Amino acid sequence: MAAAPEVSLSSEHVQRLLQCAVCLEAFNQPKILPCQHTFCLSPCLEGLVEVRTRTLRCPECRADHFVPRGGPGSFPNNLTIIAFLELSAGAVRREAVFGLPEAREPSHQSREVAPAAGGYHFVAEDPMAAGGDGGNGVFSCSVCREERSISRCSHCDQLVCDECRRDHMTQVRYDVMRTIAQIRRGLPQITDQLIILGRKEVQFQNRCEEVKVDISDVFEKHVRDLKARERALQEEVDVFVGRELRGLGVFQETAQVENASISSFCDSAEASLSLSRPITEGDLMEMKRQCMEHLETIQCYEDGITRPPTIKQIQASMESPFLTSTINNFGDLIITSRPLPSLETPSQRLPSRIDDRDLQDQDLSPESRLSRASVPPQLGRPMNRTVETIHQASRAVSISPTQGRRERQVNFELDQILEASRQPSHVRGPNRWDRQERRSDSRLTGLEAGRAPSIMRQIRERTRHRSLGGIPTTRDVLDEREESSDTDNDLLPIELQTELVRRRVETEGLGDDNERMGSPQLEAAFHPTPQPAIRSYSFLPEPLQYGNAVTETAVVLRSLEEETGPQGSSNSNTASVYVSTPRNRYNQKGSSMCQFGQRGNDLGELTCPRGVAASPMDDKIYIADSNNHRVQVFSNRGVFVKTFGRHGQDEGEFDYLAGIAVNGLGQVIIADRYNHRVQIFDRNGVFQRAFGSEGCDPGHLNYPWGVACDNMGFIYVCDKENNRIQVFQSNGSYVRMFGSQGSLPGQFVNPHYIAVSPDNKVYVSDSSNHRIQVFSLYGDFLFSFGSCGNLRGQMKFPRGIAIDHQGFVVVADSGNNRIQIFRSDGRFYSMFGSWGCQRGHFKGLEGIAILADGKIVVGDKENHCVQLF
Amino acid sequence: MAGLPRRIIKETQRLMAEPVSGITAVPDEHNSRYFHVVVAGPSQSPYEGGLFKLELFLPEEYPMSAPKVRFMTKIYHPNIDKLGRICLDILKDKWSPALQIRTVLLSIQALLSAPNPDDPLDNNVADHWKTNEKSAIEQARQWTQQYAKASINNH
Repeated sequence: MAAAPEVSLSSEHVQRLLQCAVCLEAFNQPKILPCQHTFCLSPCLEGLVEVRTRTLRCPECRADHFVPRGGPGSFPNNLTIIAFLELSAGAVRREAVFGLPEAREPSHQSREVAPAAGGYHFVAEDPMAAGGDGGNGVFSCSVCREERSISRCSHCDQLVCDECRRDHMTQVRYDVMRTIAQIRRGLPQITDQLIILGRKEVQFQNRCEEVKVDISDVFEKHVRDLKARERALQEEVDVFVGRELRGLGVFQETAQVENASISSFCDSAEASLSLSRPITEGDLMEMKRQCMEHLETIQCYEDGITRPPTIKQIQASMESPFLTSTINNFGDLIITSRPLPSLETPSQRLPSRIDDRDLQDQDLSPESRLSRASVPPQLGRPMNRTVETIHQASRAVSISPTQGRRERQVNFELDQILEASRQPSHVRGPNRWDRQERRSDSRLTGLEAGRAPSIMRQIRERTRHRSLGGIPTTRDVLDEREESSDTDNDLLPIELQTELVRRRVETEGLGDDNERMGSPQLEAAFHPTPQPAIRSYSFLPEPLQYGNAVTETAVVLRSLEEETGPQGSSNSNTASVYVSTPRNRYNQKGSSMCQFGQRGNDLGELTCPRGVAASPMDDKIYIADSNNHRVQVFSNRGVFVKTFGRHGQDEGEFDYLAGIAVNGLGQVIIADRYNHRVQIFDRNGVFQRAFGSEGCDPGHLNYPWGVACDNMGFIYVCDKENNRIQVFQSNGSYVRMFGSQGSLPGQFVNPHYIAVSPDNKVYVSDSSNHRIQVFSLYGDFLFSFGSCGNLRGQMKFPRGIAIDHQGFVVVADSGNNRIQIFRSDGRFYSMFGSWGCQRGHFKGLEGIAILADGKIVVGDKENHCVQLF
Repeated sequence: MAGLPRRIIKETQRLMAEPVSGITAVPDEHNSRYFHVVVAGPSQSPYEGGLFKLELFLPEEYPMSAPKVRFMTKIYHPNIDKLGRICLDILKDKWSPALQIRTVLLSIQALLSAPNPDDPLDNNVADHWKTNEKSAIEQARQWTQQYAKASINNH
């Protein structure tokens, strides 16, 4: 059965030909390339594929081939080589075992031939043969072809003789040992993982403990606040009761005196009449007159004209679904799978100054909205809440008894304290405006503003009318106000109300109740709908009549008068103008209070600072250190705090970042200019997310510059090269965009910076059009101001823009190297600064921000510094 | 040899079994991917008679990426810089997995026979070669005498 040519096939020569040039092994799934070279499919060809270009370079001839869709496996098989491999397989195996080439038969042949030719009959009932493949009875050893005692190898399922089996088993044994050694070497990896896991577990537990502590801190604080509020309310009740009782006592005394005097008059008159003593006619007449008087007095009692002061009803209005739901939903756990992320604690997400009573007078960053909405706010909801708040606020004063007495607000509802008071008054107001804008988006505000006074007049008249009747209840008036506001879209700036109510709370602390008893005018002036009081002078108290507290209020009112002018607000076309004198004394600014940074890339040094932002959380200054590709954080006195970011395209890396903003949660939003994206970091500078990529489709950015946040967490991005503004949710999902290239209203040429005002208007520095444009949150053009020039109110290439809590707009007029301040309606207010590199001078104005204490932070990219004014 | 791809084992075995004339490559006893190589200067070249020590390292991706080869012995050659780095296309972009240690070393040997001053790695040497080939060759020969003998003696 030996065949000579087959021997030569198994020679080393042939073996080499059957070897892949890459792995130097016998071909495994040989594939032939178009250049006729053959390689194994795996791993040789698969390892050669250039995934990006889907090409493959032949290792032999370096010809490039396109890889078919199905991968290199789709190259044709080299059938010749496969046939050769099959041919040589048996021979090779034999060589391996016995070291000599044997006569070989192709396996298929042996299957047919063996049973017929061989006289050897394997035991037919051998279970292995019966269970063998097909049971066709292959009785010779599949390795050595000898017909010996055959058994089935349990490893490779072939029929082999004992001898071959022994060899084979030894080989398998080595294989197994090798594998075990390999496994052993791999074991440390598992141990490492275990150690890391243990470490992470500890970290995680610690972190959870911290979170728990944070949570309990916050809750303790709130419980303290609630307790304090409880005490305050109870004290208020005590005071109220005391005063009422005093009032009743006075009435009681009067009545007793009258009772006594009348009865004594009766006694003496009767006596003198019954004593049939002559009475002079004059005395009789006098007596008659006195009788009439007393009758009248009694009549008064009978008719109820004279009657005891009404016993006022007092009740605590504690029902508040709002508070309950707030409590039930208070605090969120943010769980992310990011490795080093902020498991933000509720405390971080709360305004830090909730219980700070003074804050009513200060700038309030609008954060509470944000703090309650870790999910990006839905459009409808905040609005509803606002309405609710307003309504409750109005109910809050509803207990106040009237009737010519100084009223007290006994029950501010708790949620008003918790919710409304921590919100800046102007947040509530403007949200109403939103609603109105939404409802009648195309309407002119001026029209509505013009309508407001008439409504006020109505209400005022109604109020006056009631007061003639004796009891004008605040509640009625307020309810009417609510109604009218619902039906007529009236535009009463709630902030005025709130402000005055607040003033009142303040003045109350100062004044003596009795001193102001029975002063209906003041009453009206302090009425919780103070708008009529302001607009109609008959309700105004005379300034100096009522002591200090009153004077203070009067001053406030007068300043409002000045603002609106003697004709009231009817000529004001922007209804949100409600202040005249900025608390930040802009006209006294101009000398740099603090300057920091110099060119360089060390810590605290700046190279081309662009955007600046003030964190509402901790009043830190965030600076986009543009050419150093990092953010630097300074204290509000200019002391370096920290830095993060570096040059690159990865997460947390920047390429010439520009705009920067910090939202109410302390998250830092950064326009990563050359990477055409916006990145968000948490307040510790840990990367959270990025969105946007280069392009001009919605959601794509092209050199984004300024960024800003509104109080609901939406992110506004100046998409500079696309000449538009894009709005994103805080999670980065695209919401809307507005603007296009051009110089018409609502169009832009290189919009650089953007800011959102407290009354929710979007101010954009439309740089190359030399103007500031103002939009509603929804992108409706409202008005614009500024034109090219260097006069007051004119500007050249305005850059940074910032808005204080009163609505004053601070503009970095970069072409004129000065800072200009405008009122919220665009009227010029003041300006300062000039060209130069000294303090108070500018060369390349960029971003602007306003700190909580009113200082203006100015970034100067040419002087590489930041100045505070 | 643990975890060593079979291809490297095979190549090593074959290098030992069928050495190339003028080249020896011995794997390091501690690292089978690191080879101590000695290349004899080709005849008819200024390097003739010198024995040049090289180091060759097979990276993790080998054979999908080229081995790293460097001259340890100082050599005056326009395509080899003073750190011993070699400017040879098959070690860079022209690498092919069908090449082997053997072929790489043969290529390096060929490079010694045929310096290419138009694609230089060491500009000074290349300039020297281009401006005054004779003196450059003399210099190379001198260096060979000076360094390529000593290094082997030390070895």
